[in-house]
Amino acid sequence: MAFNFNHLNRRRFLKALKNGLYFIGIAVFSKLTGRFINRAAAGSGTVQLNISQPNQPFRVYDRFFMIRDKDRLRFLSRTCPHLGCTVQWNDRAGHMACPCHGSRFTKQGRYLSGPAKADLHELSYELVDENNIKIFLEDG
Amino acid sequence: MVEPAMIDPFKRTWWMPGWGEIALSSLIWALVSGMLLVPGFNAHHDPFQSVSRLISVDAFGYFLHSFHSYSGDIFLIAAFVHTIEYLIKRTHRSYLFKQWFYLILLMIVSILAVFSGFLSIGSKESASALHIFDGILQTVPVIGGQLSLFFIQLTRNINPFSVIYLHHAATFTILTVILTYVHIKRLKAERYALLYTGFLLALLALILPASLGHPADAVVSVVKGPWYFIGLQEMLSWMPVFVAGIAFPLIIIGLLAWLPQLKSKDRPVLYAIAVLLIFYLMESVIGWFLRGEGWQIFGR
Repeated sequence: MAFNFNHLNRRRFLKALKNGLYFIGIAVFSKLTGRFINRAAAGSGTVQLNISQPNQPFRVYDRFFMIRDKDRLRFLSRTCPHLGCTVQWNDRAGHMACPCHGSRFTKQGRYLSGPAKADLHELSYELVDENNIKIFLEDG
Repeated sequence: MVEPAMIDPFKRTWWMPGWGEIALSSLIWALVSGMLLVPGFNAHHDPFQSVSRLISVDAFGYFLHSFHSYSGDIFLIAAFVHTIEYLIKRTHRSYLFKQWFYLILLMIVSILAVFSGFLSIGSKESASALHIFDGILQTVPVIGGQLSLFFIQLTRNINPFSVIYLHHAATFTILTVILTYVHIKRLKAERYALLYTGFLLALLALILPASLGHPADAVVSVVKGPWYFIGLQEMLSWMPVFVAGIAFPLIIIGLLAWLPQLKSKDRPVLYAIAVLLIFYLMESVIGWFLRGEGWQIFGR
């Protein structure tokens, strides 16, 4: 009985073509979806702050710490470098601490201990006028 | 010689429904109570304030919030015990891979449905959990960024609580309902189980009102996530994020998915799953009872 190799090869070819088209379709769909999701999300924010108030060496705001070192202003993000929880200032202990996983930082934002393994991120700012500055918050 | 009868920890008593029926009934009660909460909940502006108002202006709102919260918890507990029961009975041996795959998916979306409800509240705890969830998703290779944007969108253009609330009310709930139907081919619970579970939930809601957590701007010394993820929170404090948040759950899921293929040689895999779950339980105990201020051991 003769074996029909042509029939087998044609079947394999069509199956491979079908799988290839599925793969290409999924790849194209994933690429389009990923691009769409990326475009939906852009943006960074800023906060305007009035600095004409009495000089305080250290102050806690919602999203950052303000440190006044002689005439130099520094803004440290309160977002923990580990997984983004809001770092708290512990007045009693004299350091900053993350309440989620226990990372600790000095008053200058330097890493002390815990899973964060990095200092608090320093935020950049620019002068709007002599009494106001604009602080650039990081995303998220 | 007559062998002593084996003790069956899951032996049905006349007054208690099966764990699967309790899980299904809890799901139904969660759907009903969730729908009733929709008009009072504002995920876009200040979700925490809307929930606070909801539970303070009306006693029924107070009851309903607790009822809904506990229905999610009881659903998870009953589904977990139901899963353990049937793993011990080795019913996975009779499943085809496709059916078993849908069950694994059901387990994942069920957990996400309950977790996303917790995240939607907008409390200090849920805001922190949202950031942690985002951080974990970001560690997924290649698609981590997209996953994070899809589920959470931590940007200043959109309130992330409104995004996760939509996933809670729509994406994960719909998937849970569909996959539950695929599993048992019905959505109607046994009447007695529905009444039993409803009564249990009402009793819990009346006696132990569910905690709302702290306002998002509160100053707290320690933040503890939902009870089912305390173990994960503890693991994240000493393990790399990818290992604790992605690899560990994937290993459990992978072992579960493997079971039907093994047929009668599944004992080592079942033991491995048991060891991992016991490890997670130990981490949960440490996180719940021993972690205090600043997430330090015995911190006061």
